[in-house]
Amino acid sequence: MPLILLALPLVIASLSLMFTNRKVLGAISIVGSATIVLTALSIARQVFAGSRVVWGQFIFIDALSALILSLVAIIGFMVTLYSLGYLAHDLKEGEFSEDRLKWYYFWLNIFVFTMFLVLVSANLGIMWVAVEGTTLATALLVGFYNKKNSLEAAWKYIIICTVGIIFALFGTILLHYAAVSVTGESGSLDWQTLRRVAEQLDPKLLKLAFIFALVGYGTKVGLAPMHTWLPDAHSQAPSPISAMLSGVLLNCAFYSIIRFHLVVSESLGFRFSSNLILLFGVLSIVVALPFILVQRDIKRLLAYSSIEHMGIIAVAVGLGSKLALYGAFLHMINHALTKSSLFFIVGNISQHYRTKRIIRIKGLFKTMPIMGPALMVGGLAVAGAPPFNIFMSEFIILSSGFAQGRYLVSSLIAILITLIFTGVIYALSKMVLGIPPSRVKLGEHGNFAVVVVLISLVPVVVLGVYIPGFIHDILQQVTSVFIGGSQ
Amino acid sequence: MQNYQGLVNFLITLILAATFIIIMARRFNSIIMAVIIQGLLLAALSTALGWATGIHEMYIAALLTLTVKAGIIPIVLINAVNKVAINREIESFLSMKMTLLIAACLVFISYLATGQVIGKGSGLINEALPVAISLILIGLFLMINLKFPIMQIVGLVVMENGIFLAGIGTTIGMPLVIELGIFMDILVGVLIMGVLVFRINRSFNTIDTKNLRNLRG
Repeated sequence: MPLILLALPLVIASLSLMFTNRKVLGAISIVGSATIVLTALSIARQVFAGSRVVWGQFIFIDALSALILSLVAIIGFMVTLYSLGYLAHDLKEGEFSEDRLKWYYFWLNIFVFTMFLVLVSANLGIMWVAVEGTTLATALLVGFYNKKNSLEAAWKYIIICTVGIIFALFGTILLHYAAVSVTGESGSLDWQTLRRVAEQLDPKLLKLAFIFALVGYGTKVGLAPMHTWLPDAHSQAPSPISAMLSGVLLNCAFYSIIRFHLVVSESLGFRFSSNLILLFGVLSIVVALPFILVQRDIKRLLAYSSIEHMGIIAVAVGLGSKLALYGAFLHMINHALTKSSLFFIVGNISQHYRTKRIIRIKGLFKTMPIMGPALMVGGLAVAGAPPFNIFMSEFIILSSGFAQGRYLVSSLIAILITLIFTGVIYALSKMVLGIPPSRVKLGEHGNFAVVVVLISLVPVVVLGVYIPGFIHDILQQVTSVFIGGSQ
Repeated sequence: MQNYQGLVNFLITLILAATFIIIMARRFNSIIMAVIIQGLLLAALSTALGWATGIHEMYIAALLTLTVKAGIIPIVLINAVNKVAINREIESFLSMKMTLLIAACLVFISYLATGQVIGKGSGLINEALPVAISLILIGLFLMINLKFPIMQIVGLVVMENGIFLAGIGTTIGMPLVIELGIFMDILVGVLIMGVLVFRINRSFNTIDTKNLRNLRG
């Protein structure tokens, strides 16, 4: 089963290269990603029913991997749906020629493959290879429009992330060095084995390994101060790709940090690694704030908001109590769903207005009677307003922080997210209100996109008032991965 | 193992020397030559270690290093140079004296740090880890200091050589599957960077990184 999951995106990618027709490519990718969703969800179901999926030495899926795996598959499916209309419009406008379309689908599916590989591998070395693979698969997607700005973003992205990730490889090698005398060559990077033998490993080396891994993978997560690639890449990539980067790639990278965290905390105790994660989390929220307040480009605003939310997840993982972890992963789900939906909306709007500058987008309520309110709903949700999903998880995280007696951190975060709230709402209200410029046509921009956006907004609204039993159960299982130790 | 210690340390010193050639060179050709030499030396080092320890995987690593680092990557670099910047002087932000001084400091720091943190003479070869860290730091410094995207690729390759050295020098290499994966990532990475350099050159008509500064805030 896990092998099928890994093979599927590769098959779709190679199939895509054989066609150039837009409709054929779209059909292949829709059918393909629907199959991927079914496979991924059936694996996840098996895992959540209590039996972990193991294949040989290299594949191991527990509740934590299964959760993010499902997110990747579901958002991947939404992205392929949304891509149809988005790319059709770009083609009509002559943004790129039709013979390059197959490369879009090729790299998109390779991207999905590498993320799956990150999540299913039982070996920290293979995980590293896969995380670097995600950078390579997306570099040309970020620069897909081949314009000056998008090429600049792609170059920054590949260079900064590759350098960052090289530090993570150094961390992995240090861990290997610390472990190889205890576990032997074969088990030295297997994280289950490592968790079991963690107490016998040299703590000095483990500390060093964790710091390198945190800085390395943290670059990919977009934790400040290594976040500089993120706003460029997110704003210059085609919007469906931005949705994918922000919605799931960041989570996959965070997953790698968690794996290291789990190994290291077995040996050094919980404090060392969780405090470091907490520190980077707080720093990310602090750094995101000023850029959100003065932002002029709507996609960059969303990108900085992703940095903020990754910071919040990091803070929650750093706090580390059961409730905080519950909140962290609920927040991961919420952020992935909301942010991808927002990138769909903003992609649609920016195609309609032909600009991403906030100041030039006015009167959305009047021009686009569905997308305008949708933007407001998504924006309120991502800013953390009740009664939407992100408010719920932020509330859980903050209340667990206060319950643990971490008053300073918790109140600082509370103040910061309130300020960010005002920044986001201020920017969005400038867009939805006012008199629309006369050059803009009235009416929606593509009916299909409207349907996709409305579907993607359903969980944003529902999860704000009610957490279904199965999600509650899943989150319980994910938090028990942290507490369950090495079994 | 003891008998080979001298030879191995000698090779590692040469690898460090090759890095300094890269720092000092002002022509693309000599830099690419130094990259090839460094690749060859790394391949020789893993062969020597394979010989000394009797681990056959080291020969495979040597072969891979030879093809990827002394073969394909230099070819990609030469291609990129021919397309975009024939016979141009390489400009740097700092003067040559300053560059050398900083590079020397980085080497010094690496020796100091490894001695302090991990203990002197740990690992299989006592020269490997400090030189590896020097390579990583100098590679990073190269990427910041030199103005051409192609030189940033070279910096990355130097960093990766450092990582490889750390891997084989401390633990006789990672498991083979992972080693293969890493080589593939490096290879694909350099290829994609080559493509990007070409596209950047086409749309900017120049290839100086100071033009890559539109996206801010």
